[in-house]
Amino acid sequence: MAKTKQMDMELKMNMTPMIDVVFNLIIFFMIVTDLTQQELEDLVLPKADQCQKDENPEDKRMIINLTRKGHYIVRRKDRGVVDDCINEIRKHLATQVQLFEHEDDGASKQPILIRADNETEFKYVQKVMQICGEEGIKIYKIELACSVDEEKTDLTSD
Amino acid sequence: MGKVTEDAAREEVEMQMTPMIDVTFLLLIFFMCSIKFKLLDGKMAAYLPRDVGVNATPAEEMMEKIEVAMKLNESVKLGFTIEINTKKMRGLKHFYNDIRGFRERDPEAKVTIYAHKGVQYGHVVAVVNECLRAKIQEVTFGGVALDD
Repeated sequence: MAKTKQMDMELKMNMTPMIDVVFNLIIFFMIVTDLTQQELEDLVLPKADQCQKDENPEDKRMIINLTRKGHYIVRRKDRGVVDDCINEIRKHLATQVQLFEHEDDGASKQPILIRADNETEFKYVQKVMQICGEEGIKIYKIELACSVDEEKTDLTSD
Repeated sequence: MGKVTEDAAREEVEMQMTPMIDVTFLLLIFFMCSIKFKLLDGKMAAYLPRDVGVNATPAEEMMEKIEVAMKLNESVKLGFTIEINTKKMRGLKHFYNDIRGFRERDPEAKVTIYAHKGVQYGHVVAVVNECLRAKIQEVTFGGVALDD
C-alpha cells in the first residue's frame, strides 16, 4: 500500500516551470510583434510586381508613414496633416539622418522608406520629398513601399 | 469511511492542466507565425533630384531627359493620364513600350516623374513599376509640386 502511494508520487510531473516558460515566450512574442510593427502603420499599399521584397530589414531605418488623408504617423501616433507638421517632420528627419553614414557631399547613404496609402494624394509625398532634399537633411535615396503582387499585372486592361 | 472522504477531497484539489497547455501552445504557435506574415512589404528604389537650386547641373552636361507627367483624369479607367515629353500615352502598356524604346536607345536613360494635382500614390507606384519593368536604372521625382 505504501509502495503504491510512493509510485503515484513519482509519476506526477511538475508542470509549473514549463507553463512559466511558455507564458514568458508568449509575452516575448507579443512584445516583439508590437515593436517590429510600431514603425509600420497599417496601410493599404499599392500592388506592384516589380518591387523587391522587404526581407531582412535593418534594425534602424528611416520610415515615413502617410495615411489616406495625408496624415503623418510616427510610432502609431497621428501627428496631423503633413502641411500642419512640416517642422516636426523636418526635425524628425534631421535627427534620424544623423544616425547614418554620409557621403562626401553630406548626402545620406541610407534611403528613406516612404509608406503611403494607395489613395494618398501624391502632393503629401512630394512635401516629404522636398523636406528630404533640404540642407541639413539631404536624403536623396528613397524607397516607395508597395505590396508584392505575385501575379503579373495585366497591362492590356487599361 | 473516513479514509474514503479524505481520498476524494485530495482528488478534487488536482487541476486539469491539459486544456490550458493546449491553448497556451496554440497561442505560442499563432504569435510565432504572425510575426513573419506582417513584414513582407515590398519596396521600389527611386531618387530625389540633386541638381536643384545651387547644385544645378549645366545644361550642356545633361543627358537626354525623359520627363513623365501624370495628370488626374477620372474619365479614363486608369484614373490618370501619362505624357512622356508632352506626348500623350494611351495607357500603361503604351507607356511601357515607349519607355522600353528609350531604354534600348540609351541603357542609362533616366526618368523624371512629375505628378500633377490630385494624382495618388498608387498611380505613381504603377508608373514606377512600369519603369522598373522596362529596366530603367534610375527613376527620379520632380522636386516641385506641380499644379494645373
